[in-house]
Amino acid sequence: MKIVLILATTLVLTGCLSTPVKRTFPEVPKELMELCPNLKDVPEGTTKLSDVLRVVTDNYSQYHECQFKNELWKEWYDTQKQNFDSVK
Amino acid sequence: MEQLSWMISFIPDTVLNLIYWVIILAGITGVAAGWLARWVPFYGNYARFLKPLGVLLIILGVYLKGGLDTEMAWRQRVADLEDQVKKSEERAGQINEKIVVQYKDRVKVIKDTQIVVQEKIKEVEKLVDAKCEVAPEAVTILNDAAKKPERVQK
Repeated sequence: MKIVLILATTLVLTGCLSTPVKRTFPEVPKELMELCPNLKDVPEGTTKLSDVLRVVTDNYSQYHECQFKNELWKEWYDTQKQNFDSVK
Repeated sequence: MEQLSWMISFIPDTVLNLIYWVIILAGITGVAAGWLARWVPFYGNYARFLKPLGVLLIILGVYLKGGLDTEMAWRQRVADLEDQVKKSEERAGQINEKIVVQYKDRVKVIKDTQIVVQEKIKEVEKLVDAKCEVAPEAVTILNDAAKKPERVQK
């Protein structure tokens, strides 16, 4: 009788189950994956200030685009992480 | 053990539930019969087998019923999770769409501003160039500053 009870207890204690649900973190939009290009150079031998201005202002625009891309990356990650962690 | 569980999974849950209850009830009946049998003449010889058999059936029935209930609870949990994951994936898609729209809108604004600035330069080009000539050293410094700094090799 004792053996039966010991065997039965062992059997009952093995009754465990785990069922995984597969999840993947969302893909980043391809727009955010594009790298920022290098800053433009002023052509050698330029003496005109207007040409220098053009290059400098183009570089400013480039910076603003990259700055915004960086802000969006952060926003994308924070929002997606919050959404991902909401599943419990 | 897994193969057995897999085979059992083909039996409908309601039928399994019924079978497990029958096993438990059979066990209880066996134990009760084993206890009562001691007062029944000729039947007492079987009593010593009935009681352990009843106990075994009760344990087996409770184990199987517990397993089924756990399985049901897990299935429900998995279904809930799958539902949550599906909704989360839909939200993730919406977030991506929103981000892309935001990006395109802002890049358009930046490009438009750039065009306006270039137009302004064009307007004052002659005036600016007439009053100032840029030294080649200034161009070199500007270009050096624009270069991406590389790590110095030691």
